[in-house]
Amino acid sequence: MAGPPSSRPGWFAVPAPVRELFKIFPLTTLPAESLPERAPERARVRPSLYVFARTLEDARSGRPSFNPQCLKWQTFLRIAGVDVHLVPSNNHASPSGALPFLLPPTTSTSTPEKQSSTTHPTSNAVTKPTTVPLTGSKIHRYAKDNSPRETTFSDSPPSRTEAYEALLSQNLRPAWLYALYLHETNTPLLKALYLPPSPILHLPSLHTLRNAATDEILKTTRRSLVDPRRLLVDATDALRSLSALLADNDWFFGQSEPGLFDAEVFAYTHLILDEAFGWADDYSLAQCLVKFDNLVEHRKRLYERCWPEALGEEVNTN
Amino acid sequence: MLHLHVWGPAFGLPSIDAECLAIIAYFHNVLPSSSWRLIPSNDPTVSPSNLLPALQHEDKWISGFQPIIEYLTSAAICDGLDETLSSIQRADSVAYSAYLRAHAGPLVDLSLYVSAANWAATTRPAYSSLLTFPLTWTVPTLIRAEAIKRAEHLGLAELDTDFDPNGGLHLSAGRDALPETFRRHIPLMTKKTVHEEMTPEQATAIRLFGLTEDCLTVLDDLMKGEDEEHPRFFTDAAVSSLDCLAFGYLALMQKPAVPRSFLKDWLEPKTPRLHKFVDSMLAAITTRGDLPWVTAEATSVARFGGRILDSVLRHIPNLGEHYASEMRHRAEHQKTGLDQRALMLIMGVVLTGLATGYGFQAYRALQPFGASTQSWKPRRSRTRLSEFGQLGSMLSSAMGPFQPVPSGLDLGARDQGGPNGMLVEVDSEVD
Amino acid sequence: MAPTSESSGRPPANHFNKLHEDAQDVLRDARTRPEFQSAEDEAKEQRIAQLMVDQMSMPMTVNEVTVTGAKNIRRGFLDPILNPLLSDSNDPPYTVGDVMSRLQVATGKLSGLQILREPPQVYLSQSSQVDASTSPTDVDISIGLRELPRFKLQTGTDVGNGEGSAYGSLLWRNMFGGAEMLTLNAKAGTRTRSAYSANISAPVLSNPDMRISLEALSSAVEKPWASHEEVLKGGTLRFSWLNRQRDTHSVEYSGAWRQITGLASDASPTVRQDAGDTLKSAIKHIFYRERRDNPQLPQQGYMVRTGLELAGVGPLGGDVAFSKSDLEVNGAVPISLPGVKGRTGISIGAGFRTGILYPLPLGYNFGGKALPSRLNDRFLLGGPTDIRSFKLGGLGPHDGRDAAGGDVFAAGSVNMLFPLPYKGPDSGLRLQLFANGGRLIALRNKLKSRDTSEGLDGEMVRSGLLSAVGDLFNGPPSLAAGVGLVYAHPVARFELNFGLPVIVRKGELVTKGVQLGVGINFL
Repeated sequence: MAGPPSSRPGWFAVPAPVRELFKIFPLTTLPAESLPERAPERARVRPSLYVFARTLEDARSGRPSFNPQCLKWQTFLRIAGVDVHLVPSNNHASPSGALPFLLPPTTSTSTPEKQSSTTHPTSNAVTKPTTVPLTGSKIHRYAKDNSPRETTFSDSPPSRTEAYEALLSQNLRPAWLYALYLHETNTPLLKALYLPPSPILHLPSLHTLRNAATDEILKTTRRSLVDPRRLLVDATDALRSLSALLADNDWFFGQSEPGLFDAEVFAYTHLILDEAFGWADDYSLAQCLVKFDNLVEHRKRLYERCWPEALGEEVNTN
Repeated sequence: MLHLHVWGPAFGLPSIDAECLAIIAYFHNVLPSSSWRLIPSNDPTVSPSNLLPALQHEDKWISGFQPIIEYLTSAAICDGLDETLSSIQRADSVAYSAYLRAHAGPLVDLSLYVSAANWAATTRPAYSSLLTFPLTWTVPTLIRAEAIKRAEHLGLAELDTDFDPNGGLHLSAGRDALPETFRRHIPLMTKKTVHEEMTPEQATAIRLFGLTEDCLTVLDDLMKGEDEEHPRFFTDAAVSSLDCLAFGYLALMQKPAVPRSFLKDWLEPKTPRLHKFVDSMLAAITTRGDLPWVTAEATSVARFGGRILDSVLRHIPNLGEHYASEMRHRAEHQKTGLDQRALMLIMGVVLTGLATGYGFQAYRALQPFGASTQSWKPRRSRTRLSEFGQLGSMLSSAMGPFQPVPSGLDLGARDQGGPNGMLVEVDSEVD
Repeated sequence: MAPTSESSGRPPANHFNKLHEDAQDVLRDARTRPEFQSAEDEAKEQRIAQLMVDQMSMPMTVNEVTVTGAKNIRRGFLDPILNPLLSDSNDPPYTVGDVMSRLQVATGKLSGLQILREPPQVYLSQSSQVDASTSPTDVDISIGLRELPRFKLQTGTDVGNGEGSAYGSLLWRNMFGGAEMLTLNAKAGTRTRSAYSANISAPVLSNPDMRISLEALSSAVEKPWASHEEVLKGGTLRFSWLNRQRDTHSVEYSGAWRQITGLASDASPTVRQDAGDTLKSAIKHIFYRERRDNPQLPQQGYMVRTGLELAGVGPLGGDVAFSKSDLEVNGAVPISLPGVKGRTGISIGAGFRTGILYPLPLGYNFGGKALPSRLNDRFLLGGPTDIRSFKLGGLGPHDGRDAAGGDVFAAGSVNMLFPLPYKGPDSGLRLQLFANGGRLIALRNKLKSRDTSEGLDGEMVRSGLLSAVGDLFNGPPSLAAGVGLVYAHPVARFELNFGLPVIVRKGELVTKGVQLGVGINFL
C-alpha cells in the first residue's frame, strides 16, 4: 500500500506532486550498518557449496563430506576444477530441503549493497540472481559453464547412464541407508554425523531420522519389510554390475575423463571404504565392495586426482 | 510342486500387480505348467515377508521377483533365463531392472493409483472383484495410500484432487537423499494460476509427459534390436528376466482401460517397439498354453476376521501408523504370538488406560472441592471480658452511615480495577 | 431529610402567609435554601466523619465467617484469606476499623483470584446472644460468592497487523479448588502457521498478587522480514508478584528448542548460515512499573519496563549463551492551555528503548570463547508499533532484503497528541505528530581476521561491544517523522500514520506514506 513508488499498484496511482515529495525523502542516506559477526561476508569471491561436514576444519580444508549427495557434487566440482568454498550446514538451510546447494559468487555488477537498497526504484530486478541457490542439475550446469578446463565433458550415453544411476539409487542406496540409519551398531556413528549436538534433541531426532529412513527404504524397494540381508544382496548385485560396466577402463563408459557418474559412484565407494568413517563391522558394505578390485582402484584413482593434497596423509585403505 | 501366490487377474492381464505379472511370465517361460500352481490368493500375509508374489516350495517361502528367480536357480529347479547373457548384458539387466522399479514403477502408481479419475473408474473396481466384502472397503485404500507414498517424490500430488494443497503433504521434487525427509515444511508456491482452469492431469501434463518420455525412451533405447516382430531387450536370449519384469510394468501402462490414459497415449505412437513388445510377450504367454490356475483355499473365518481387523486398524489416523510399524517390526524379526515386546506394549497400553481412568475417577471423587456453605469459627477459649457492654447501640449507629466507607478504606487493591467488596446490607439488632 | 423533600413541594413564597406561620415553618423554609443546605451537608459530613473516626475505634470481634456459594473452592485455600479476620489469628482485629479493613483486604483477594462472577457480597450481623460462647462485641460475617463457570470455550478469528488467523481456546478455572487455571490455546493463521500453548497457573499462598505458572508452547511462525519460518517448542516456569508499590516483578526460567527452517528461495546467506536447531535455556527477570493514566493513550504518567535475561551460562546448558538486557521508558505530560479549564486532551509523550546483547561463553567455560549471537536472539527494530515509517524489522543491518538483527540498539520517539475537533478530550481519538528514530548495530569483531567461527574471546567481545555502543551515539540515528490518527480501543491501540523517513541507512527498509499499526505497546 505504501511501498516505494515503483511497487505501487496501478489503481492507486500517486499524483505527481506527491511522487515528487516522496522522491525528496529520505533527505540523507548513510552507509549501511555492518552485518553481524556470524554472517558471511557480503561479497563472495568463490562459489559457496553448503554441505554436511563433521567439523569446521574439515570444511575449510575441503575434505570429502560424509554425505553421499554432498560428496558427489563436491567431487564433480573438483573434477571440473571449480574452486568452491565449503560451508558446513544442515538441511534447514537448503531451498529444496536437501544439501548440497551452491551459491554462486557475487559479481561485480550487482553487489548486495546495491541490491538491498529499496530506495532505488529499480533495485528489485537486480536482487534475484546471486542469492538464489543452485541445487541438483543446476550445479551440474554451473560446473560445466565455469570449468576452467579446456576439455568439454563428453557426455556418456544418456540412457545407460540413467539406468546405472537408477542402479545406485535403487540397489546401493537402500543398503547404505540401512547400514547408517537403522543398523543398531552404527547408532554412535549416526549420532556423530547427523544428530544435533544437544542430548535433549537426540531422541526425537533419532526417531524422526529412523522413521524417514525406513519409509525411504520401503518406498524404494517396493517391499513391505526391511530385510537387511536382501538389501546387502541387492547392493552386491549392483556393485557387480558396476564392476562389469567399468571393466578395465579408467573411468565409466570408457570416457577419457571422469564425469558425473564417476563422481556418483565414488561418493559411495569412497565413504564405504573410508577407514576413518567409523563403520561398525557387523554389517559391512565394505566387504561386498572389496571383492571388486576395479571399483576399489577407481575410487583410489579418483581420490588421488581430486584430492592430491591428501596423498601424503591418507593411508591407503587397501 | 511349486505354489506361486499372486494378486489375481485384472484388465485382461494375469495379475493386477507388476511384479506378479513379471514372475508369472518368467515361470511360464521356464517351467512346464505341470510343475507349478498359480494361486490368486490376493493376500500378501500368506507369506512371512508380507509380499506378493510369493513362492511356496515345500516349507520355504520366498517373496519378490528377484529373490524367487535366485531361488529357482540356487535350488536347481530350473535353468535361469539369463544363462546365455554375457557379463555386461547381465550388468545391464540388473541396471535396467533397477531402472524399471525406480521410474516405471512410480509411473504405474501415478496412472493406476494416484490419479483420482483412474482409481475410481478402473483400479478400484478391479480390486473389488478380487477381494471379498468387506475387505473391498478397507484394503484397496491402503494399497492406494502406499502407492501415493511411492509416487510422492515426483511432485505430482495434483493428480489426486483429494489432496489439500495446504495440508501436511507438501510434495516437492529433489528430496532424494536422507536425512532430507526430516523437513516437513517446504515452501510451496500456493498461488493459483491458469492451473485452476485445467483438470489436474492437464495441469501437470507437461511434467507428466516429461517423466513418461524419459522413462520409456531409456527402455526403448536398450531394445533397439533387429527383431521387429518379437522385440526383446537382449537379442541373444529368447526371453530374459529383464523382459519379464519390463512386461510386468509396461503391460500395466498399456492394457488397463483408464479414463486418463497418458501412459498409453505415449506408448502407442511414440515407442511402438515397446508397444509391440508387450503384445508379443502377452501372446507368448497365451500360446504356451493356459496358466495353471488353482483357486485359493478358502480362508478360515478367524483369519478372514483378523485380516479385516488388521486393515481397519491401519486406517486409524496416527494410531494406525504405530500399529503398522509395530506389525512390520514383528514381521521383520519373525515373531509370532506373544513375546516380551508385545507383552510390554500391551501392558503399557493397559496400564496407561488404567492410570487415566483411575486419575479421572479420583478427580471426580475429589469434587466438590468446597461446599455451598463453609464457615470459620475461632477456636478460642472464652476469656473475653464482657467489657464491651453497650455494643449493640454503638453498632446500630456505626452501621448506619457506614455504607460509603469501603472506598475510603481501600487498602492494597487500588490497581485491580476496583473489584473491592461491596457492603450491601447491614443487619444489626438493637437491644 | 424527609422535611426538605416535603417543603420543596410548597408553592413559592407567600409573604403574608409567612407571618402567620410559626417559627418552625420559617426554620424549615430556611433550610430549603441551597446555601443553608450545603452548609448543613458539610456539617453532616463532618459529623459523620467524626462519628466514623469514633466508631472505627469501637471494639468489634468476629465470631464466625460464613462463605456461601464456594462450591468449588477448597477450605484450605480460603483459610489464609479469612483467618486474619478471626479472633484467634495471630494479630486479631479488635475494632470496627480493623475488621472493616481486613474485610476489604479479604474481599479484594477473593475478587483478584479471577474465579468469581462479581465482587463478593458481604453481610454483617450481630452474633446470636443465645449462644453462650459469643461475646457482645461479636459479629458474624457472611460472604456471598458467585463462581464463574469452570469451563470457558472460545473460538474466533483475528485479523490485524497483516495477519489473519483463527483460534480456539479452552479455559478451565479452579481446577483443584485453589483458583488454579489451565488455559489451552490453539491458533492457525497466515503468518502464525500454527501455535499451541498450554498454561497452568496458580496463586501462591492464596494470594492473587503472587502467581506461579507453567507454560508449554509449540509454534511455527513465519518471519517474512528474514525469509524464514521459526518452529519453536518450549516451556516456561514463571513466578510473578506485585510489590507494595504495585510494580510487577517476574522471574522465569525458560527452555526452548528453536528451529529456523522453511527458508524462502531467495533467503540471504546470513539467514542460511543460522538455519537449523538451537536450544536456549535461560533465566529472566522482568520489572514493570505502570504509572500511566491509560496505557493505550497516555496523557499523564510514566511506565518503566526492564528485562534481564541470562542464557546458557553455567548450569543452564543449551547451545546459545548470552546476556540480554533491555530497558523501556515511556511517559506523557498533559498540556494545559491558558483559557481552557480542565483537561485539554493535548499531551506530549516520549518513549525510549534500549537494549544490549552480550555474548558469553557456554557452560562453565568462563574464560573461554563466546559464541556470536544468532538470528533468533538478536534484536529487531522498526515497524508500525516501534519506529514508524519503517518496515517491520526495517532498521539495522540487512543482508539483501533480510533483517539480520543487531546486538545493541537505542530507539526513541516523541509524539504530540491533539483531540479531534468536535470529539473532545474524552474520546479515544487523537491526532498525532510524531518523530521517531533509532539505531540497531551488530557486534562486529573489529580486528579484520575472520577466523571467529569458533567464537570470540572476551577481549574481542568487549572491544566489539564498546565500539558498537560508541557507534550508537557516533552518528545520527535513522529518523522518520509524520502525522497520524490514533484510536485507543480498550483492547488495542490503532494508528494510521502518514510518515516519511528523514535519515536512513543503506539497506534499511522504509514505508513511505501511509502505515497502519495495531498493537498494545507502542513506543
